Amino acid sequence: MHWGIMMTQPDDFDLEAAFDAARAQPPQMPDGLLMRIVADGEAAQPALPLWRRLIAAVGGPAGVGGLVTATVAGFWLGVAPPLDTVDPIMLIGTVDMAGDDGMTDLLGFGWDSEEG
Amino acid sequence: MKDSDDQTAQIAQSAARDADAVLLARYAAGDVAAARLLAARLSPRAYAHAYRVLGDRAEAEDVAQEGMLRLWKQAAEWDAGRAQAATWLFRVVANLCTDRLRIRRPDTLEAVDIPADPTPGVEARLQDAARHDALQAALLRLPERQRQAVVLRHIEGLANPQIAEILEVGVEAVESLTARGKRALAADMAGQRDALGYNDDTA
Repeated sequence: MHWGIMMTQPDDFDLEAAFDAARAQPPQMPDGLLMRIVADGEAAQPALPLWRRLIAAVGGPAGVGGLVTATVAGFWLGVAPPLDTVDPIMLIGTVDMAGDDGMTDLLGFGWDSEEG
Repeated sequence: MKDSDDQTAQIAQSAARDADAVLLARYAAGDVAAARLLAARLSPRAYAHAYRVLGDRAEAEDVAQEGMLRLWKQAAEWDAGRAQAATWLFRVVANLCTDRLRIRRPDTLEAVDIPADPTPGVEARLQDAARHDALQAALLRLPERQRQAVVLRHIEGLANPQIAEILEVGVEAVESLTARGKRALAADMAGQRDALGYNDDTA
């Protein structure tokens, strides 16, 4: 009967094999399409705020951390006196006192000449 | 019969969803490499779907590029919890295809139809064509909604709920579209095979 024919005819045709073949050979994009799509993507990419671009330029948050450490260390190297030197900051206000105390007498003429 | 297939498809879908969401976030944050990776992941499928539905390379190219352009513009406000990038893109591409088919319908029905009465040229062409070319020709003779549903289900291998989201219909409607589409496709291809006598290489 007619309905039986309609029901069996599709089963005779191996549609799954045709689908498998279609999956195995998907339509290939034409040359250049992917590059055009990427170019569109780059052109449409949201512009970052200046501070985000600067952070990215030094290598992200880790780069910023490194920069901060280097800056602090450099500043300290600049202000810290060598260990075997009298700290000039500590000498402020003491130089005049040195002039007033007995140092002059100790080093002055006469003190050592008494020896000879 | 398709329950396990659906589960596999859904697992693959959720993994892809995460990867695409991460790439979209990176793209929106200014990562240039993310644009290339997203384009490589998503645009071949957009192009393939457009080609299978439209049957025209130049038009499929335009649709794929336009679909991806809309994704790029959407990326900054992308809500990862709301939609999967691939599903979203398929929906845009499906709608762009529908629009194009609607515009060209009057003058291309003839071009799409292969004559029932085979001339030697047509016969030779179809006999030389691989099985998937015969499938492509038969797909183009399906009603548009059935065509989209069959391609998404049986060639792209998507799960019915995802197809429902893409075609903006219920899951039952998808099942009906794919079932009717598949029946019509099988009948059409069996008929073509009988009419053209190329049963050796298609069965």
